[in-house]
Amino acid sequence: MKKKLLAALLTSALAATAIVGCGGTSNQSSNSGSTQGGSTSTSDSVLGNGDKVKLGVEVYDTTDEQFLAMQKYFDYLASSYDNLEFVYSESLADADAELSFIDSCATQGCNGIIGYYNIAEEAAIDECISQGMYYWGTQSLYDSYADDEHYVGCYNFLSDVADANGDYLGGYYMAMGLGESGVKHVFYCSGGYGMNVPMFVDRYNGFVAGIKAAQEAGYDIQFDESTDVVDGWPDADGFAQNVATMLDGDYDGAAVSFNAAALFQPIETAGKADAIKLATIGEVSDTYSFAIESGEISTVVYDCEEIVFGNCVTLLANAIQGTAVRNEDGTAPMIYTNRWVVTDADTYNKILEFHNAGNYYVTAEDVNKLMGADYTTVNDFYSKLTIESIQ
Amino acid sequence: MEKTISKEKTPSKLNAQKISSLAPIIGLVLVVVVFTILTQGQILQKQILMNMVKDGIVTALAAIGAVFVFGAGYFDMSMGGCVCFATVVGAMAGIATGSMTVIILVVFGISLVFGFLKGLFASFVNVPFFIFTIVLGSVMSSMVITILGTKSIIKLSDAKTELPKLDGQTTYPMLCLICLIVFFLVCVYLFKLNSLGSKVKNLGGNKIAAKQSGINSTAVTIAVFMLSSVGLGLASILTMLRTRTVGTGTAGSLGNDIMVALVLGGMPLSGGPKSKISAGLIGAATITFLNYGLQQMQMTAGTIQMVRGIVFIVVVFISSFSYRGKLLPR
Amino acid sequence: MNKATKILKNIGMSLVIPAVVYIFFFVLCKILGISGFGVGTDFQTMIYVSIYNGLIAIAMSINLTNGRFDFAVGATMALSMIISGNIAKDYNLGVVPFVLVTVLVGAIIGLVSGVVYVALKLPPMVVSLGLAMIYEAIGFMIKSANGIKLIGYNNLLIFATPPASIILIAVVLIMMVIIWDFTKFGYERKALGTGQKIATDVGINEKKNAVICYVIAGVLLSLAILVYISKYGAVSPETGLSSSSYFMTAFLPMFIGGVIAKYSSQPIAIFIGSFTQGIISSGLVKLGASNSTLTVINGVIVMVFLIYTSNSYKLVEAKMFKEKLAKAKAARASHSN
Repeated sequence: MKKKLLAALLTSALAATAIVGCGGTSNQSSNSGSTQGGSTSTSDSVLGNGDKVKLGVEVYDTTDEQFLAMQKYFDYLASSYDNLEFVYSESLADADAELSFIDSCATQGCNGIIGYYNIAEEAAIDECISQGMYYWGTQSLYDSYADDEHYVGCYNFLSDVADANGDYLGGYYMAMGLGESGVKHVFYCSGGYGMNVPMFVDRYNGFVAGIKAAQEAGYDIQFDESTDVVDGWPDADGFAQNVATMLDGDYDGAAVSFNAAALFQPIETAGKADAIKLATIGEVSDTYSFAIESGEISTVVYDCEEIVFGNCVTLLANAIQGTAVRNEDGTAPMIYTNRWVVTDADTYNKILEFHNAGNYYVTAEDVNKLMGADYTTVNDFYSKLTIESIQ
Repeated sequence: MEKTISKEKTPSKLNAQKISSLAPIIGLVLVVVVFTILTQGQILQKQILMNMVKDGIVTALAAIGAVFVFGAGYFDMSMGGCVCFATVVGAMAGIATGSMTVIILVVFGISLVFGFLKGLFASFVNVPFFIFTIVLGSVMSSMVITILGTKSIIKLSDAKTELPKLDGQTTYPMLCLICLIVFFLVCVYLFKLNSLGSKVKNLGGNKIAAKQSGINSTAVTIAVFMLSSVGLGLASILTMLRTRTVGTGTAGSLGNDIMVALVLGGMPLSGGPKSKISAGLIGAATITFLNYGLQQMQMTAGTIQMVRGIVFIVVVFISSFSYRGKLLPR
Repeated sequence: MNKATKILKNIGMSLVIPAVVYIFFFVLCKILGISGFGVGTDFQTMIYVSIYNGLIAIAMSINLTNGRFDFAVGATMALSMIISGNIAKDYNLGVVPFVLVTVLVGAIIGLVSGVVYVALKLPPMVVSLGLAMIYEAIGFMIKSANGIKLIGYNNLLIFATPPASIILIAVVLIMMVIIWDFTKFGYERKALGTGQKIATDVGINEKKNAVICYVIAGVLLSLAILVYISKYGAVSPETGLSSSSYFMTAFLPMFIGGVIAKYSSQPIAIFIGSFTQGIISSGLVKLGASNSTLTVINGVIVMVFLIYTSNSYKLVEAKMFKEKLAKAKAARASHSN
């Protein structure tokens, strides 16, 4: 009896693996969003000259809204072109996991890595290059790798704020947005700032600079670094207490360096939905649509995924197919894009409805047209996509 | 004449027990065979095998050392926190001095001190040890944040003088293999050919009986934790050499990975006579191969995790036949 | 001591720890000029934290006292809300059906955990580890990793504040006290906890008892996540066994509860322990402690209580030995006289 049970169990484990393995790969739908492992095409069209473009995507949190939106866009591109594929990592917990993923991509035939997340820093890019793959991303290391032919470049933001990276600008625009909407006293949810996570440190520094800029511009907005900061995330010890303390105070604004949805209910529960305006760095999605209509959210600093991150496909595909986009001096380019600061419901809903209908501001055809283009053409294309241009 | 009840094991019982004790190896072989077929042999390429060595080495080293701890009946969930702490402090020392020797000394020193202290604590303080180590692991990870001060990561490239950089495709995997083989052989000797092994198993089986049969439980307890620390020290060094960046997230999932590896390798978590030194190696190999196989097939993250969970439960269930009792296990 | 006095004594002893801690932080904050501790919204937050952590701690203690450590606590919570929340959203449920669906889903997940455990007869830690992976995977796959967002569904999200939160915890505590102390199941659970072999030898059905424990734990965990989503409006799926850290907050309530349990029923003791934890967190936050400092301090307190609860019997033994020795000496003295 036990032998039969044993045999049955072993067989079922094998069968389960085989069935799940054969059934759980790839997808083609541009609306699915459920394709975590990889995306391939059912189309007969090819991108560029038809050479295979297989890109690994490094991810910190596979449940993050921004990642899911970006993945949906990549799925759309993959479904449009026969020779374009994406491979996604699981949530990368540490540098070791990141390097493992890069190695795994190399063995799966990937020829490029999208550094949407990078914790191993130089080690990740070095590993990628040593495996013969191209790398996109990590603006902080641009100067170190700009001369390397395997480093295809990264995105940057157009702004008149000096020495500002994307995260710094995010914090900056939140502060400015709140100042412009008439907020007088703001508290700041700093996320990983207390743990010195660089992204959150930059956002905090940008926020502080934005407050100063808003005050200089004549807005009467106050922020005290010693008393007006809530550290951590909703699951962290003390977060609930800190938020409660803030909501008890005389604040009429809150800036959230992560998903502001975490503050909606506490504000609602405290009976301050009409009294506190929120600013966040986040997605234009169903999450905030009711809040921006009611005025609860005054500012959403939005990185339109097909513009800010989508240029990675253009740069990587060109490099892989031998038509690398480079600066005149041969260094890797920075593609200058615009951060969209959404402050009204009409604009928000316009973007939301456009995306929900399966449309994108950078279509698959647009990406194909940029194959073989020079830096000026590529950069101009992406940098002209402003929030005003889509109105 | 009284009828004597035969307590001899029937052949089918013996076979089932033998199969269940071999279940981890069977599981590993099956995983290899299944994914070789599904990936049409791709997974057995040299490059992929080298990558698996690089990816699985940390878990393997830590799990092999952990066999002693678990075998003695202790449940240590603080290994991830210890590796994180030792790696960060070692890296800081290395960056300040520019010396690889200093890194090695600091990492092993801290690991061994922690091992000694844990062994002392386990010997003299009567607490549910695994809860204590869960809390200890979390406390150590928080202490790393304080130690790092204003940074969240530190890089070996910031060292005073350049620290050795190993080629990730050849030198580093070879170093991993050498460390693994040497450490494994030493542990096999200690576990199977040295009296320490039988003392560990006795202690894990029944502490009171072990003490009463003359085993110095304090000495054995301290020894097992320090042995485990050697594995953790090796894991810390190799992690640092590979990533060259350490921080608060280093070895974040190691505690869970070790448990999964040990259980998949057929190690009874309560320790005792059925403990196997091979459990750490086989379990780490199985989980690494399984992960790679699932990734090669480009499965979704959810599917990968689902298959992992199912395979885990099935393999463990089969290997549990060798130590099942009448009562529900606790 | 008559019954009324005994009851009063028990109430007093049960509340002495939270009272002392509260007074300590209250006085400290007053001395340092920090206002707002333990009153108004701070007190409300303490209540929320107590209820949330208390439900998790009671759920864990049901199995832990019988030697079953459940790694799938977090995965159970996340999955139950992802399923029930999406049902509530898709079918426009009211608050009562939402609660009932949440409880039912939690019970079903608990039932699965219990059945797998008794059927496979694997160590509970191992089973729960495998199930945690599977539950996380299912939660991840539902709605394409979007989890559940009920932000704005204010009619459903009422359990983070009084009166709904107080009613919820009161009902749970009353039911748990009855189940724990006044039912056959409760007696059998205690018997199995103190002597598994003897209990099964006298005919207690351990498998049935274990499954019921898991079902009750599943219900309590689903109520805990109901309180959580009432506070924050959304629950995201977890992957990579990251949900296994949910149980960290349950340790201190369990161990403080273990100290208080001799004066009170265990569920109430655990809830008082959870309330004490809430006071400590609030106090330290008011004093400006960072999250990592909070974790370290909480960890140290857990260890202190853990050592005390595991070794307190030695104090009782020493006291008994002393009394016995004194009696023996007195008897010897009177004998020699």
